[in-house]
Amino acid sequence: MMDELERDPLLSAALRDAAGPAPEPDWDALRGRIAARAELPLARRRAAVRAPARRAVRALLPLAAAAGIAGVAWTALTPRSPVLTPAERSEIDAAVREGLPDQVHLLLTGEAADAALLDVVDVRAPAERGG
Amino acid sequence: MTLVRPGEPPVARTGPPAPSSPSAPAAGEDERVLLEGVRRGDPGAFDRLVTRYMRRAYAVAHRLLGNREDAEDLVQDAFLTVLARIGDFDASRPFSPWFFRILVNRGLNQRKARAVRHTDPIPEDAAARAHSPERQAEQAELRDRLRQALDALPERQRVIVELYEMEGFAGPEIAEILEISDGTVRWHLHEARRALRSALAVYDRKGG
Repeated sequence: MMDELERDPLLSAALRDAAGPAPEPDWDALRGRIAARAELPLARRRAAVRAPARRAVRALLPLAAAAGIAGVAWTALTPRSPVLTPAERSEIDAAVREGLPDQVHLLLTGEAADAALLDVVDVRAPAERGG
Repeated sequence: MTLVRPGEPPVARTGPPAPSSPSAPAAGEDERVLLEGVRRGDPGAFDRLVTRYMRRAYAVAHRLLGNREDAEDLVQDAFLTVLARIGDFDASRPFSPWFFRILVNRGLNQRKARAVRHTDPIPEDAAARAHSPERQAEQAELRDRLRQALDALPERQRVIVELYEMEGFAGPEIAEILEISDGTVRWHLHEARRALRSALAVYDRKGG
């Protein structure tokens, strides 16, 4: 093992003295130069990290669009029966009662005979002409 | 020179404590979190990593290349190489040996590529610490002999001496950085020390 080799402080000191001290650089300037030269490689690294996420989004977009279109189509094509609440029904009934002559009401409710339709025509015609 | 050898088991740091050892426990932020941030491209995480290793990296780079400008360039290159290769780094292993392997490999390649090696002059105050002109002359001679002896060492021995004796790396760390066995490190260090002590012995005989 290397432990068997003792360090030789005298030899180390003599060698350091012979080589002389290394002149101190401007550390901030050196760090700045390194940072400046590293900007582009670092940006490439960031882009490389984001690339898989962008690819995943690009791959999912058509699927999402297809799912949206299918949803809209399903919603549009599904037959729906209108459901009226009792309040809505009574409101409509009231409007019909108020807005139509009694004969029409009777016809719509099935309380009048078919012949009453002619009476309705007679009644509606003058009203429409006047309106 | 390519020294990458994947799959080598992590080497536990043993041996005498070296206060400035790059394998010393990372203060503050967990290094794995930091490296994960760098992997994601977080500039703050990268800056903190640079701050953590910059001084140590510069010391080793200057030891390898001998002048400030080249050492700064080497440090920059090493950190940018880390950024380029962080995807290959095994997060379950310590970062320090991987980083210094990059730095040392690149430094050695640069050293080999040089036709003429320019080195920073040794500051005057290094000699001025001596008490007398005779003593200054002796120390100057000692430095020359040691430098010559160091330069005369085979490349690998010289790097091992620079990392072990001058930069305080532990033997197993050097083994991992250079991707050689502990025994090989020991052998090279033993041989290098013998050569260097010979240079000192000449000095001792003259001085004694």
